[in-house]
Amino acid sequence: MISRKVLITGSFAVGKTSLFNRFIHNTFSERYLTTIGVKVDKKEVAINGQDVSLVLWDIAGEVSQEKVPRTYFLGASAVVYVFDLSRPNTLKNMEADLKLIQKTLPGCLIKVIGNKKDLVSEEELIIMKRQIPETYLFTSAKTGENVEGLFLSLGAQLVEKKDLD
Amino acid sequence: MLTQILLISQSGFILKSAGNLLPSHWLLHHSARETFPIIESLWPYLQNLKAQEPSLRLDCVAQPHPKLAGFYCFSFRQTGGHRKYLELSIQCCTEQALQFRKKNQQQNEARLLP
Repeated sequence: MISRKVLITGSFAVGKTSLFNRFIHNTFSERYLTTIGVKVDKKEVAINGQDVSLVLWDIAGEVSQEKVPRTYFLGASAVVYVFDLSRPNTLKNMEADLKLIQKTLPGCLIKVIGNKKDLVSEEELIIMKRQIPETYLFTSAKTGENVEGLFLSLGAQLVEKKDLD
Repeated sequence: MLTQILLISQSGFILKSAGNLLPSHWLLHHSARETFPIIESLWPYLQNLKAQEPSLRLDCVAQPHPKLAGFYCFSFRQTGGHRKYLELSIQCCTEQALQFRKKNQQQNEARLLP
């Protein structure tokens, strides 16, 4: 079995922990509880006949803050960068954050996720889609929409990358 | 103080355990990588730690094991000598972490207000 570390980051209160809990435990809570430090857990999935252990790191705070220890980045194969579709200002630091991630983890796979899809209308989503790259995926940790798909496609890309390496 | 110190072999098995966080028989001869997901994800890096390097420290790790509620500081170092072992020290920091979270929670909730 191959094992890959996946870091979940983004601004505060965008739903990083909710995505973590939805994928790992298939649970969701409406209550907002600030994450401190790091929570690590894993889920084993089968991708194209290959068993993959995805070890998710749900970290507190924004990557641009010097408060986030660089040790959290050690050995990460992928980063899920989350913003809140209902709070456009959570995209404000994204460009700088992604640059920092690319510098810290060269060659790392990065997925940008707009979470809380359940909180925005179809019209708002259409407008949003025109403004952002096609590769961004929209999820709802509350309903579970696209969450499993996100991590499975990430796993598939990591397997493919391993085969190429 | 709630702490546990583990000695881990190069193949990832727990060879020695001392402390009061978890019963030693839950840990001894088990794979550290399977017992703690955080170790699994750092394993390639941990194997390459050098004895002369400073410890690798990870503060405020939430529930690192199903039977360990709360927050813990992890500190890894490679022992010197003929045979290399990884020494892991786990120290409970739940009280400080919860105080920090209370403060952070208030700040973030205030930032979320319209």
